[in-house]
Amino acid sequence: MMLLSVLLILLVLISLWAVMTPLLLRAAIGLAATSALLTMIMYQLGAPLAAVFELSVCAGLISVVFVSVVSLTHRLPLKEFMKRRQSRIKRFIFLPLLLVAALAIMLTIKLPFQLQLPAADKISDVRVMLWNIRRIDLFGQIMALLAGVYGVLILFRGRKTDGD
Amino acid sequence: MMNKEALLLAAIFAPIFGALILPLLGRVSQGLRNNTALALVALSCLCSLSFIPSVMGGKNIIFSFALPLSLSLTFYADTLAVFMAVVSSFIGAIIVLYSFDYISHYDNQNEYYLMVVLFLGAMMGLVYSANLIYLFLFWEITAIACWRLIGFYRGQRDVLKADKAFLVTVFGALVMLIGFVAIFQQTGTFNLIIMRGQVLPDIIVALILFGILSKSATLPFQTWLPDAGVAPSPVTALLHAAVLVKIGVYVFARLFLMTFMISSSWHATVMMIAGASALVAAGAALVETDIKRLVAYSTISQIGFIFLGLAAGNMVGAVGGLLYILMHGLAKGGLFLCAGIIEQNAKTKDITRMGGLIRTMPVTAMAFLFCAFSVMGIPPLGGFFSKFMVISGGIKSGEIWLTLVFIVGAFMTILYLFRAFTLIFLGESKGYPSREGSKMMVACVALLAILSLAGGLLANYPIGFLKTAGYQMVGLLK
Amino acid sequence: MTYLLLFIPFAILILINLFPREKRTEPAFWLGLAVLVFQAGAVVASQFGYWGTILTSQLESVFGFNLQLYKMGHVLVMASALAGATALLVARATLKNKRDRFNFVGLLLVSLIGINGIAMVTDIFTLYIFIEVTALATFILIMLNREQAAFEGAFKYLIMSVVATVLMLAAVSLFILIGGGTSFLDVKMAVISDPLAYTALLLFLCGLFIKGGMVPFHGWLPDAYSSAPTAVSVWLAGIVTKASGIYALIRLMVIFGGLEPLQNIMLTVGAASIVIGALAALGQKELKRLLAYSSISQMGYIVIALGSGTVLGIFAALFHFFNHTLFKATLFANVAAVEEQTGTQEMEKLGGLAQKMPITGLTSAIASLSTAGLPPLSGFWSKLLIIIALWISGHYFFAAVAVLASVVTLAYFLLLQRQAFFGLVPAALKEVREAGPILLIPAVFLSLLIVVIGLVFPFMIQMVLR
Repeated sequence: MMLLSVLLILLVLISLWAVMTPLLLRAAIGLAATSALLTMIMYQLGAPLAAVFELSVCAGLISVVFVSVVSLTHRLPLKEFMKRRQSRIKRFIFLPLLLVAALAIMLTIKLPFQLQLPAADKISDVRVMLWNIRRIDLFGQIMALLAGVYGVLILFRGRKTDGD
Repeated sequence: MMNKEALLLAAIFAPIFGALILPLLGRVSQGLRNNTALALVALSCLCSLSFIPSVMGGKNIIFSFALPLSLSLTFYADTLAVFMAVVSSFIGAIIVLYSFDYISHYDNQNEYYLMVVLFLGAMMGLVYSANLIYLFLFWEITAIACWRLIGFYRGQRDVLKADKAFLVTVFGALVMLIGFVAIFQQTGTFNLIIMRGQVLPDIIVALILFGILSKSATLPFQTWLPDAGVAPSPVTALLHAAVLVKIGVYVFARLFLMTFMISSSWHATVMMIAGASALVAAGAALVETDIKRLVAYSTISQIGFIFLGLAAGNMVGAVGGLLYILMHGLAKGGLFLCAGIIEQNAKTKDITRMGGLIRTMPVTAMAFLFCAFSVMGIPPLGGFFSKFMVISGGIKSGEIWLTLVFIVGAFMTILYLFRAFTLIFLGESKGYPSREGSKMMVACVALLAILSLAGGLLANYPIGFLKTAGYQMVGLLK
Repeated sequence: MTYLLLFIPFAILILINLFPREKRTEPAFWLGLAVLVFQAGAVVASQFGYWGTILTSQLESVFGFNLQLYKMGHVLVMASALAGATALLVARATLKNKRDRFNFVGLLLVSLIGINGIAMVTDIFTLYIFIEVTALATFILIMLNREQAAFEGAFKYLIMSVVATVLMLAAVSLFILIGGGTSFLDVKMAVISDPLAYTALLLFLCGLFIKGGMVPFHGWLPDAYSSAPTAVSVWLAGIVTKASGIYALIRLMVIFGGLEPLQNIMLTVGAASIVIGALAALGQKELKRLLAYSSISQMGYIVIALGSGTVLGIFAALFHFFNHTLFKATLFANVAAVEEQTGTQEMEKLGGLAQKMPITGLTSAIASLSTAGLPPLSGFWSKLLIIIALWISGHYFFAAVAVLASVVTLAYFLLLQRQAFFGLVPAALKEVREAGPILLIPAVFLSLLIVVIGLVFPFMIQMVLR
């Protein structure tokens, strides 16, 4: 329970950071970290299948985001950057309030979730899950990451030569 | 003795596949290419001619290759098909011969011969097909060939007109295709021999008629035909006179006379459309000054007469209509080829700027006159017999008033052709230098004129032949 | 054995990166080509066990036979081999930068892995993953030349793709929630029993419509096609969009084709795509954009065929799918040739090129007429089957739309022919010559296939339909 709480708090913090940071690249990293944390949480809660899905989805999504970030960003002068950060922080002033409100609403309305949890012994081990049942998925995920890396490499290098 | 099935296939596929090697031959030698083109068309004509004794004796030739989805490759040579094949390949051969000189000083000759021979081959395929899908297939191949041929000169306007002709005919064909698919739904087959004698619902008849009218440039789809006059003259002769517009007529005869029973109200409708078409086009021809457009309007008008005969629903009319295909093909082909000689040698297409050409091109003038007589229906030329039979068929069917309209149309035909002849050949020369066409070209038009005359004097033979077709028509059996 | 289709491209991808940097472009090209030849060979030999499993389908049969759809995957693998080889050759001739050419091969291999994966999936989540792999590699391919327009085009594609991803993921999670599994069988059970799963299926289909660029989600497609380097356009139009959107749709409709609401959706979306794509193509001024809209319209034909809910419809859809690869790859190869020789792809500046570039002109005419469904070319047969399937299943209106839109298709291709190939040569283009053999080989080969398939199709169908 202790571990879970720590993970949850981390999750909230990191995702907040991802939302609030003015740098797209940092936001992307934040998203990746959020996703990884979520995977761990799901695994902790006894849903390895969901955890695996989360991981693979994030593999795809993160790569997409990385690629788009690299393709779109260009470096701002420092002054401009500071100015943008100021204006950005202003925009998030009401965020804590919203969070508190959301929490209150969630506590008052008891959501009628009656999800069936998978039998505990059905698929217990993530490794079994990954390698025996969803092997082809894993291969696909690796490919997605590879494509992402490829894209970053190509676009970054292209940037460098363009700058020369 | 070769077997008939092989000859049937040769009649269709020799020109189609032979056409594809013509551009290669053209790289070797022009003469070789031209003569091969002529040989291919002539071969096709000879093969078709060889069927005459057999089909006259009531033995039709069938080639069939069974395939699933009712896509069986079936070719069927009966009297109607053989008649049509002989007429179109024979006139086609004369036109190819004429093109040797006419086309010899233009670019893209390889493509020209490829498309002309492919077109005639597709025509053979269409005529002999006993499967609706293959009929449609060959129908569209003729459209593709036409598109390239009409745009032969490559000018902005030429290509636009070519596109227009292509679009109109393809649009009609696609509507017709819906009709074919509907027939398939009803009968479960595309094979015409199997569905002989079936009764067709009105909606399907309407869909198919749409395609037929668009291809044979009848009202309300007539406008593409005069516009296609931008093509070289042999092409216009091929398209307008001899072959292309007859496709619609042929399919009408094939489907609605030979194969299906349709309700009799359709006969009256078709006759009405044909009458309007004949009259409107004749009116347009009366005021037209471009020689090729004038002859093109005349074609639209004459196609109306063919439809009158075929839709009359009696023996005289049907035989007359089919005979009209032959006579009109010969005479109108001659007129277009004459127009080609005039256009090339007088350097203009405007008949008001010509005059007195009879002095410089006497043979052409005589040929023009004879062909015009035939189209007008002056005895004893071939056109007289066909026109007479068509009109008596119309009267026999009881549509007296409608037939009167056609008689007015026939009268107008005489008027506009005389007007054209007078303006072009008689009177004073307007100062345009002119000379007779090349020997080959003049020989071709003279041949067509003589055949128009001979067709009249010997009209008994084709009529006797066509009567055997008439006896096979389900449309007349009521 | 089937997994070789995934591992061989992967192994080659690693292999080409092991070469020394200066000398790797040439071997990469040849090895890439070898992979594609292997793909085609694999289909021809068809010894792979996977396709042996016959897909059960509850569609009604029209002609009294039951189509065995177990060779579906073959069509996709073969089409990707053809489109890929064309794209590689076009890239060799048009991409000037050596590193771009190398990267092109690498990314082509990655997306090929994605496409091969799509060909063999039996699980809706795996399907999603491979669609994603393909899409990712494609984004980067579009941006390969790092031009501003390409970034924009890729970005539009990216945004739409993310929306599609979200929709598909939501659907997958709902399937897990209800049925407990993501294999096609589980999903089928879930959809039959639970309306929520039905909704999820609709979401998934929506995602696929976006990926396939169907109306009303087609906005990204013309920008992506026209801003990408032409070699990439060949690959995109030839196979990628279709594999990740349309093939997946066909695959799902084999399973769910009997459900009437789905049929209605397919019919409506298909008809809208056909008509809107064709009409929009009429107004285009650039060759690539015209072809892009034409793609939307042709995809519409595939989707409308799926809506017939018959085995014949599925077969016609697959056949049109393959045909579309043939003629679109040919046309884009022609565009590459035109762009290479004249330096522009704006139709107003072109004209009469058939005289200067006879082979390009001829192949483009063949491909255009095949797209418009004129006999005796291959496109005619697939359209004919689509129309028959629609008519026989009683969708008269949609059959009529499909037929009459062919006229519009013909109209815009005649426009293309008139402006670019058929006609007189403008003064500025007097010096133009025919393109080199690298660009002509794929165009000639593919248009030969179009003609040959068109001629022998009635004989071929006997083998396919047994």
